[in-house]
Amino acid sequence: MATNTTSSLLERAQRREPDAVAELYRLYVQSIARYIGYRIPDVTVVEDLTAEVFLRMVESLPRYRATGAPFEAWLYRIAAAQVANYYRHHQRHPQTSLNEAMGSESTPVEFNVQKQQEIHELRAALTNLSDEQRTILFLRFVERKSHQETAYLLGKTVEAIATAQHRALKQLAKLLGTERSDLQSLSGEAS
Amino acid sequence: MNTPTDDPRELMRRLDELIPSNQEGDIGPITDPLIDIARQIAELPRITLSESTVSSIEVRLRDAAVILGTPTSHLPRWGGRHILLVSVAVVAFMVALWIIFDTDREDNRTRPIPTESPTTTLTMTPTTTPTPTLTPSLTVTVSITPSRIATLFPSITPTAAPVGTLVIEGPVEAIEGTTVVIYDILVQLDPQNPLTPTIQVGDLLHVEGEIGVIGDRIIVLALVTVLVDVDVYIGDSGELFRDDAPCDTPPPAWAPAYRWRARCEGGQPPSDGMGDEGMGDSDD
Repeated sequence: MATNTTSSLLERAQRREPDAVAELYRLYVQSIARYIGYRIPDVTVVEDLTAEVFLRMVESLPRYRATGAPFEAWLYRIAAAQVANYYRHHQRHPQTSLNEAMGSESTPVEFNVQKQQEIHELRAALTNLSDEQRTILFLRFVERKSHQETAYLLGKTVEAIATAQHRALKQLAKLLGTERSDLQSLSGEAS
Repeated sequence: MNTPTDDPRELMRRLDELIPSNQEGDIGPITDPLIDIARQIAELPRITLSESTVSSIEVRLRDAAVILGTPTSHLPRWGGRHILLVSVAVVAFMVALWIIFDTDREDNRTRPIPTESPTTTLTMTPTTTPTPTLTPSLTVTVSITPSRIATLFPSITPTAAPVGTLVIEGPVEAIEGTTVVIYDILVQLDPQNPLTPTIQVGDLLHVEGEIGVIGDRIIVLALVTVLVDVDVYIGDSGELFRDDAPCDTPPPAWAPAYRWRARCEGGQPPSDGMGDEGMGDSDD
């Protein structure tokens, strides 16, 4: 967390100095893109929404008040709002197709079918979690932040993060267990 | 698979061991189903923006920074700034009237409309300075541009004359449908904006929009609407929560609602610099 670097950059970016805005953007662009991609696995949408997040950042920076909490958290909140707006305007729940799951540029061509199915089920199950639970899992396991860093970013205690994480993983295990046994029984019936 | 860990702290300890933070790389064999789910999340395909995409967004941001210019938020948040905004709104209103009616006269003389889009910038210093130490200067930009009113608000017939843009910030004095009144100026909000139905009389609203005419009245057609003094949280399925809700209206689980929790549960007050920002901002 480049807190010290960010604070000096922030002051300049709040005056809307283009170089500072660009530098601040470069610091966080890939994290924000990953966060959006974790929620919407479609590269084109991720690109558009990432741009929107940072345009909102430029607009709103003068009103941002740094009080010691990480700037990143503010960006994640803007990104979460953009994702929510996206789903609201598209009038659908965040569901993914196999093609969408394969839409990532980083997806290897030789991805096997079982892995695709796993990803598809996991993404579908994740949509049943609360926004906060999804963010906790993203920060800890996709961004590989520590539990302490996750707690700091979300303004919570480590204990609260541990409890929410435990509950979220249990819920996912239950959802995935049910879905997979259903699929197995369906394929058993078919055979 | 073994039985899942049932203690959150023990699960956290084992996760730290098996999926260490700040480290990439393969994750070893896992027998706990909960940790296996965490492994699957860690192994989800990641989207990385290409350098060309990153650069093209950067160009847009640099342009936005230049266009938006130096902020005026160093001025007092309320009080002096309030008075200034009233003055600016009134002057801008007069300028807008002058532009519209002057152009109507020009149209009657069949004067050709210029093909370029000139921009007039007026810098005004109010005669009543709110505090003796403050000498603020605000810029009102009236730009003659092709109107976006027709595409954004098809129900409203805009004037044929050039249309100005106006920035106005002040308390909502009245609401009728999706139209609000700020300093006696009608402001038409975007009905598609999720913030619109949450706005209440007394809210401090910042609006940037185009000036249109309905009959003999001026109306501002909001392109950017910012709810300045209240955070509004938006859930994935579109539900909203205002952070100034009364204590008998608890926030849904997904809403951080720092102010509500601080006020009603004695929780942690907003300390992240974003309490004032929240999701209350919304572009139309």
